[in-house]
Amino acid sequence: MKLLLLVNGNAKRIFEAQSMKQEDFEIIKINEKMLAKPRKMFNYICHNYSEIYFGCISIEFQRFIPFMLTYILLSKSKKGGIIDEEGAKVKFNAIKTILITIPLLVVEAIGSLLIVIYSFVYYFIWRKWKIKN
Amino acid sequence: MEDKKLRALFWRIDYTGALVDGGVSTTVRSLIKELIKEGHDVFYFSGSRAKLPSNVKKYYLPFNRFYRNFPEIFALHYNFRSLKFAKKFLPKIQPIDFIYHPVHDLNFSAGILKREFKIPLFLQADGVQYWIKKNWGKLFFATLVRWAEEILWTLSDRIFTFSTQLRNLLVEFGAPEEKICINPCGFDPEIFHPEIDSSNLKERLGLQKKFIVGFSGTFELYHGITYLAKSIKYVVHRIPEVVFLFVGDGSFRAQLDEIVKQDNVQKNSIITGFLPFEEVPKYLSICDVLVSPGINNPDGTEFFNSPIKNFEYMGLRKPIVATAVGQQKEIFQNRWNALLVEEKNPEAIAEAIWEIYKNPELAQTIANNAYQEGISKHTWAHRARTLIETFFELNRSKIITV
Repeated sequence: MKLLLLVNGNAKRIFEAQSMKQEDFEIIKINEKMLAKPRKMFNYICHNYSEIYFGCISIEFQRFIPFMLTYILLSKSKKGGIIDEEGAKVKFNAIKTILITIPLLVVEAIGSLLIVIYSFVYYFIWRKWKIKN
Repeated sequence: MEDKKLRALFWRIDYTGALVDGGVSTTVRSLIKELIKEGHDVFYFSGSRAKLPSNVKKYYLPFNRFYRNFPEIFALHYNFRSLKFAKKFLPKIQPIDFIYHPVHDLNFSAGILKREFKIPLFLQADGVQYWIKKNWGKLFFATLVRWAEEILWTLSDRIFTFSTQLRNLLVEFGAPEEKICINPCGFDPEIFHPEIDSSNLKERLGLQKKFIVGFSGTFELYHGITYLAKSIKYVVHRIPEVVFLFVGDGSFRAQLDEIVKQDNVQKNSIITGFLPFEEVPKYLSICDVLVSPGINNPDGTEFFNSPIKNFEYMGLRKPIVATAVGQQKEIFQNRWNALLVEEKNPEAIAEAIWEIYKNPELAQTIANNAYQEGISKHTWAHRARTLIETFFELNRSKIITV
């Protein structure tokens, strides 16, 4: 049995676009906020599924993909990916996730910290002086 | 002066992902459509995809893919990115008469544009961002959220908001009261009207000879969707052939599924998921009664939304059941253009649906009254007119703050 964690979109349209059979899957509807709840997510993925997929409307616009891949990495099957209604697919690859996806996420976190610091200064200046002049 | 054809820039900086429909999208698209009908020129800037009339000049700057995984950073980064882009293209499309900007958290780029290019700025405030994040989402960088909003309020010329309740909340959080203008949502009578042909749909959904109760919208907390779901079992008890048609999707989908399963009413409910906007009127037109079960907010503030669905229901000339909260109490009068019921009360919702079912005359009367009221007061054309009148009024009084 495979698992589809449906983040957004329509399961039927996703299966049609991916030429997959709905009867091979157990479908669980989740939302993006649930990705930030590891305990709940592990509850879903801890069972013996042969493959785990995250489904969405469009991968091009989908956020939090590194977190989804990390969940697949931490699952028992370590197989699956991210699939969408447009027929696009990100196939899970453990090595790529460990060597590229996760390090990139760390770099993103560092970049984010710099943006936050810069924003505090910039917003403060605007609020304190610029709008008054 | 009032005959002058205007050039408006719609400045939209929120991220909608793959979705092109939704409350803000419908509002913006509908206002743009009406402005164009009146002969005005519209320019549109956005970081997200949108369905717009072909004669709108669009500028699209995608969000940075690299900062996608931390939503606040995504928004902070776009504040700078969108501004840089605007400084390049705005001089090319000048003169612009006003900027219309739906407020989103952490971004005050529209305020900077107003200051630098001396263009009047109209905000569309769907809420207080700080309040929304705190009560409905997760509030990170609270100081920045508040600062960004305060800067925008200070630099704006008018703040359009949807309801009296929302105006009160904005004032409570420091928005200048004299700038606030209430302009509720509306509906497009070319799309939502009583003559929609949806003859095949009932058959396709297997709903012939069923009594259909409809709801459309996003499944969020304030829409009270769970109370409507809990009312199904009470209605089924009295009307076995009833089917609840939920048109939409959202974060409360899982709870909705759970209630339907627990109450064993799967046969009496259909959840369509998100549908393209053009499909929604067809689904609603096959319904016998339409419900708006909104609820007050958990922190004690009043329901402050202006649900588009209420006006669309009116346009379809269908009997409406609505909870007596916020703006719904103002636009609906009990037993005249809707049946008003107590909020968070599934049995009261069920009772009202039963009354519509057993009293077709009452159902027809309230549907007709709602339709007349909708057509005469609540179309998007009325809302666009308010926008334009505000611009000219502001111009006459020359109180544009630069």
